[in-house]
Amino acid sequence: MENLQLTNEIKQAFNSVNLPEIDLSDSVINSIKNAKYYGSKNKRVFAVSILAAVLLLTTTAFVAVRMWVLNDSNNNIVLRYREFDEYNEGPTDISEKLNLDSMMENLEPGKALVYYELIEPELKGVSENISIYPKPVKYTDLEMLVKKSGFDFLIPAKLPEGYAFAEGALTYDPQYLDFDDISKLREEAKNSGTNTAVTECETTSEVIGVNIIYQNDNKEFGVNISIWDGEDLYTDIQDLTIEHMTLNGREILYIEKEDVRKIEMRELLPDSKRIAEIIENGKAVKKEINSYIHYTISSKDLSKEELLEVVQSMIP
Amino acid sequence: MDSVERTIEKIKQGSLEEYKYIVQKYQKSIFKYCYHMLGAMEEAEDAVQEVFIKAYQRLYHYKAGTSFSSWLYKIAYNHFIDHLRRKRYFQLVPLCDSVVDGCDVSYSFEEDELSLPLQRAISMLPPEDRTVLMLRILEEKSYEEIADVLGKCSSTVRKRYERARKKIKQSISKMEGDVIDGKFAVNQ
Repeated sequence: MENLQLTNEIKQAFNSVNLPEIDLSDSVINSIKNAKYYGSKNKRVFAVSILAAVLLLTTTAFVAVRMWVLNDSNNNIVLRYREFDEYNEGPTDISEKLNLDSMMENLEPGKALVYYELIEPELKGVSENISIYPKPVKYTDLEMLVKKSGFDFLIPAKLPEGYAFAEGALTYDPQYLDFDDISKLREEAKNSGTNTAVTECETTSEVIGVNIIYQNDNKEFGVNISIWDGEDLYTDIQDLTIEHMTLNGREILYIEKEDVRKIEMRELLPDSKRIAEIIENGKAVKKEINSYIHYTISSKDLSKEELLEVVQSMIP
Repeated sequence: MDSVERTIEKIKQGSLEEYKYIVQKYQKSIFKYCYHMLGAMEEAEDAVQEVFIKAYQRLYHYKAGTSFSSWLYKIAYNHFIDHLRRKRYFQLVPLCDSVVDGCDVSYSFEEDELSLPLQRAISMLPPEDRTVLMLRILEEKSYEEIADVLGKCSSTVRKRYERARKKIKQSISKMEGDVIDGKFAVNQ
């Protein structure tokens, strides 16, 4: 009886909110029309021709911050390829604390590993750090992989002689950890003696990364496609040779480090504009952000010219 | 094949205008869901629009013979979780006792709407629990259907449902025990 009463009260509470009558049908249809949505069966069109710009910013007489900027045809910045700074450092190296490779090996594809760390727990105002490592799901059929990805992306139309698709993988977005999950991790970390805790979590059906490998005997090259929020990509650009180029009207970065050659390029993910809270110069600010499809085409075996030909075949 | 499935087939074949019917049929319930998840009218309205656009873009994933409204709720739930996830990924979460159940999730609902302890208790639930309650009580979905929306097994959903109800009872008892500053009265 008491249960039924609570059910009715909850129902009433949900219904008691006076929401205005809305009819969004026209605006939804218009948005779909204006968004130029291309479904998986439609022709892929990413008509983005990008203007070239390389910036070398000098903040002081002594410190030079290197940054490369790619714009699209509307002069919107799609990528700022830049050095780490004090607020944007590289991912924490947890290999000393955790045998990540071995744990990932034992993890079921499509699941994710959650690493939780209490930072300076003895101090007031402590923080916690959560790193999530999803394990990709492998595919041996390229067509199936493209179909399962759920979004449109560019792939090479022409391969260097002797090369063929070998395998691919999709990385799925990890499921949101709710406060119960985090509370459990927090307790586990507190009791661990190392202030850390590790658990597994599920992933959603949303793909955030695609990796495709093409091989010719023991030689190979890879195409990595991932979804990024915002224009900035912070990386360790020490010891890199970076060359800005324009290919089929699209701006790209050609990068060499030791024996690895790679090309980075970007395009806007359609309909991704939104307001989000981000950390800028150490402060949380609300800002309009976009998501981008980021491409990295890399190889130790292909020459610069061969790599450029592959990328050229990807750009419509 | 029911009328919704027939309409979806037409949309898949290119009749975009038919999608209006789908939006009109489900927008009210999705709006209510988004409002209870986000707590702000304008944000909820934007979210509804985004959910229907996403649903259209993924329509070819919808399998005939399954509940379309559950499929739509799944998109709405993922949309909301994505919204929270993005917030989380951008920052280190400060640790404080009050964070555990509320902060980041209990949105500041427009004032008059949450004057009652029960509504306040619901708003303090984690998003997953709130979704389970809404779908179970308001939409009268089965545990299996809710499990599909959340990507969990039905026994987990059943436990979550019971736990959410328990949390509500506990929150209300706590509120009734607290001295309230007059903003909302207890034992009304």
